[in-house]
Amino acid sequence: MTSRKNITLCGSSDIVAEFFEYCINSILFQRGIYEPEDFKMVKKYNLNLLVTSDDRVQAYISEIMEQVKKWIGSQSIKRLVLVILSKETREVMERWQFDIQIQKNVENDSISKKSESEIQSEIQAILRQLTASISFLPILEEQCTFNVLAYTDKNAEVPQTWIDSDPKYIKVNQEQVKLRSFSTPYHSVDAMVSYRFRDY
Amino acid sequence: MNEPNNNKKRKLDENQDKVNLNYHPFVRSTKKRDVLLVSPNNYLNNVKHLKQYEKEEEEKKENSSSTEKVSPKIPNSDEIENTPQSFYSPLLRNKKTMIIETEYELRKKIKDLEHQMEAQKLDYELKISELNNKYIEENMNLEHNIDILRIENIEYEKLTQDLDLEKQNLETTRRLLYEKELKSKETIEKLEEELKTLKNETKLEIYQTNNESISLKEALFNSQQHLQDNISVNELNDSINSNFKNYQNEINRIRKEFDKRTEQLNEKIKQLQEIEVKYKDTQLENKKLKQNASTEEMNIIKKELENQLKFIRKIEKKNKDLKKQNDYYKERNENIQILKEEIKTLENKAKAMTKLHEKISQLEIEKSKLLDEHIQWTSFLEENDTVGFNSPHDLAKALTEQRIEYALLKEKEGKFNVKFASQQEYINELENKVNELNSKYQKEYTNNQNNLKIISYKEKSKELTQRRILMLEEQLKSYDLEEMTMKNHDEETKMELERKNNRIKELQDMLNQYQNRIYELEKDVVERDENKTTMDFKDETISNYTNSLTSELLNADKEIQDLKKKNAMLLKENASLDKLVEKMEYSLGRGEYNPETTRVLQLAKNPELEDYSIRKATLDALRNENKALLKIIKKHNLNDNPSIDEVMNDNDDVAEEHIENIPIETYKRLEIENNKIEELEKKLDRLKTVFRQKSKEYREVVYSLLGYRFDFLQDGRVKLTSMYSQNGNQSFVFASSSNDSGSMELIGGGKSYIQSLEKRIDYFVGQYGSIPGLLASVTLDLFNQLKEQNKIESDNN
Repeated sequence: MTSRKNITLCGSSDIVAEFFEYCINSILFQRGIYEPEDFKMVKKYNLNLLVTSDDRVQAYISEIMEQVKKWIGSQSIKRLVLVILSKETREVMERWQFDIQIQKNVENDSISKKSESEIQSEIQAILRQLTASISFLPILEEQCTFNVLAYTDKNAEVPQTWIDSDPKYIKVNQEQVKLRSFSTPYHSVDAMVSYRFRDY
Repeated sequence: MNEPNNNKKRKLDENQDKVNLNYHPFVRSTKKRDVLLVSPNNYLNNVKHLKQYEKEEEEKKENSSSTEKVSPKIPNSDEIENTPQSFYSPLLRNKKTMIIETEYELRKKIKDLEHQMEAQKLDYELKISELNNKYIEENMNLEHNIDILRIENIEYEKLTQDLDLEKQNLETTRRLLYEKELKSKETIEKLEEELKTLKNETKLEIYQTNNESISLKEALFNSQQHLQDNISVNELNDSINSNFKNYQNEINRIRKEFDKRTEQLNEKIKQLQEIEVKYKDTQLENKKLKQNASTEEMNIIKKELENQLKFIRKIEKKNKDLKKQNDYYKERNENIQILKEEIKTLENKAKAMTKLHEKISQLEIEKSKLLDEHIQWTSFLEENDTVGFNSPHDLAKALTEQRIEYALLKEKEGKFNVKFASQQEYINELENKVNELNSKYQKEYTNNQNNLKIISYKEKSKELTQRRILMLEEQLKSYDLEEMTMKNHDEETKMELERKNNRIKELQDMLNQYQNRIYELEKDVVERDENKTTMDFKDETISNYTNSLTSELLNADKEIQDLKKKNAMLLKENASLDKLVEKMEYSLGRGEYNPETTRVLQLAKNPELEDYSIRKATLDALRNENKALLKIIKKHNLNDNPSIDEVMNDNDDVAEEHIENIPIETYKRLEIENNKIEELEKKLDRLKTVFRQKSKEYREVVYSLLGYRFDFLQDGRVKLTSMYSQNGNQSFVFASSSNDSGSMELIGGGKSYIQSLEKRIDYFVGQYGSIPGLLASVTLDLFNQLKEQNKIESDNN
């Protein structure tokens, strides 16, 4: 019954950030942004997930997550986007978008009593769907790299390491698929992927 | 002063007597040479020592009185003149003494000559030392000059910055140098002259000594002639001959010494020459210091001058080059400044561009908003409707027109409605009346009908009664007939009559009954009719009700129509909302945002930008390299008909050109490539560690599952050690069989252990060729052994 204990706000933001971390890692692996040898297997959410072993990528993701945690805590982040772009043309190929919403009715019993294992199973479902989504996404034929964008409040605290960016829209032939979502007592995260559809 | 000198001479003479005494046997008895070899040497050494001593003494004397230098010369000449005179005294007996005297004199002369020689030598040495001093002084001066020149050189180097001034300075320094050269030339000439004089002097001296020796020889020859004349004194002659030989030897010795001296002198001269060479060297050093210095000979001076000229030309060339370079750099500088300005302008432009970008994004957002608005505007219009409207203004105008029209229509509708209502009322009234009339009419009609029915009933009953009457009349008639016939039969008739009467009565009763019945029926009918009228009343209420119902129905219809309209409207709205939702979803998918409330941020150090910067860096590097290479190609093309400057450059900087063949940009690009290689190496390392981990894991799995530890030895052999083996040599070694097909052969292991298993090996491997079987059986055995052992141990405990 330990899993029944209430999740705090801080814990919630930790859960969300952790989810992002594993999500980004999985996408990087699944979409072949880095070589498969650069990933190592890790057991998480009762799933075998792949996490990058490239120091620089690791450092980059963890730096993002540190800041995202803070932003979630201060409720100033709205959306986190993982953008996959072509190295050659710098065109945006895919956008993995995670909308973060603050739960308004925290007092609602059914939500607030949500157990950690329930949340975990929701996250599990998203990650599974993410893996499955490879089947409908077009193959990335070019060498690609990635970037992470954070949509924050205009008056959010921004450290010097972060700079403004253009939103990196997909210019043509945009298709999108909504993925599952999960929620903690304090936050809900909606996942969505939009991609450039190729018309040959 | 002469007396001690003479004494010494005498001493020497005595010694020489001894020499003679010792010498004679040496000459005569050549057979005893081996024994006597030592003694003359000793003697000679003694003589040498004495001579050295003498020399030292004389040196002392000469040092004390340099004025007396010339004095030994004069008596010598006298003595030389005197000696032959003494020889010419004719007495044979006295001849011996004479010869001895002459001997003495000769010796004296020789000694004098020696003295003279020494004196001369000393003179020469002195002169040489003087010359040396002078030379050193000169050299010092020269060195001083060189120092000055060095300083000047430094100054000159300093002044190279200001090339024109430097040129002037160079000219002045050249002049100075020329003067110095002249000076040094003069000094050299002086030195040469001195040397020449010295040489001449020495030559003279040598000549003199030669002359003296010749004269001596002549004297000797004369004496020999005299001796030949006196043949009788053969013995003496012999002795004289021997003496003469001795003298000759002496002379030879002296000559040799003289030669030695001359050699020494030559050596000195050589030394001098060496010094001169050194002097030249220093001059050469001067050359190196880009100065012209004097040398002994004019050629060298000329060369120096030429060198100087060349150097000056070089400097002029350099000056030109530098000027050119300077101009080039100035141009470059200008270009750079221009480029800087361009960069600034470009930066400004870039800033403006970023602003424009922002504007564009804002405008895009506005556009999307407007589009949304437009969609909202047009959402309620069908495709056909939109044709007429180019702008919301038209639409609004049309709308207002429509509204006005609508209002007018409403008004009209109201009027119509009022009229309609009044007419409706009228109609209602009329309808009511009609209804009333209808009901009345119906009543009448029903009454009439009832009446008609009654009439028909009555008629029917009348008919019936008439028919009955007819029937009864017929019966009566028949009765009458019967009466008539029955008159005959009165009685019977009576009876019959009675019967008939009875029957009639009965029939009348019946009729009455029927009539009653009819009546009743009629009554019933009437009642029914009455009932019917009540029913009619009910109909009226129903019709009233239906009226209200119809009005309600009408209202309902209206309502339905309204609702339909509303529905249509809602459907349209729904469609438009659907569109909106779609759009919103699309924009959500695109990741659009409201820039007024939201910021989009990225980490400054992200993989995308890093990748881009790397790409940009490589691109820039390649571009620069290309540029440099193009430059080189251009240069090479120009070199086909090269200009003067370039030739100069080429001559000066061959090495530089060589470097230029491979531009620095190539190295830079290579650096970038190296970075890439480093990254790849890092990746390789990572792969290696992964492989190591995996192989270790694999081995562990095999160990835990199959109970054997695998050790891969060199040359592809595999060592298997059981999990349960207690001592180390319980292991097997396998090698892949000769054809490398993956099958394994048992080739060894712990020797004693393998021997103990021989039977089993034969069974499993030999008979069935199953290594796994063998291994499994061994595992089981070892396991059982271990188990038993543990049991024993636990029992013991």
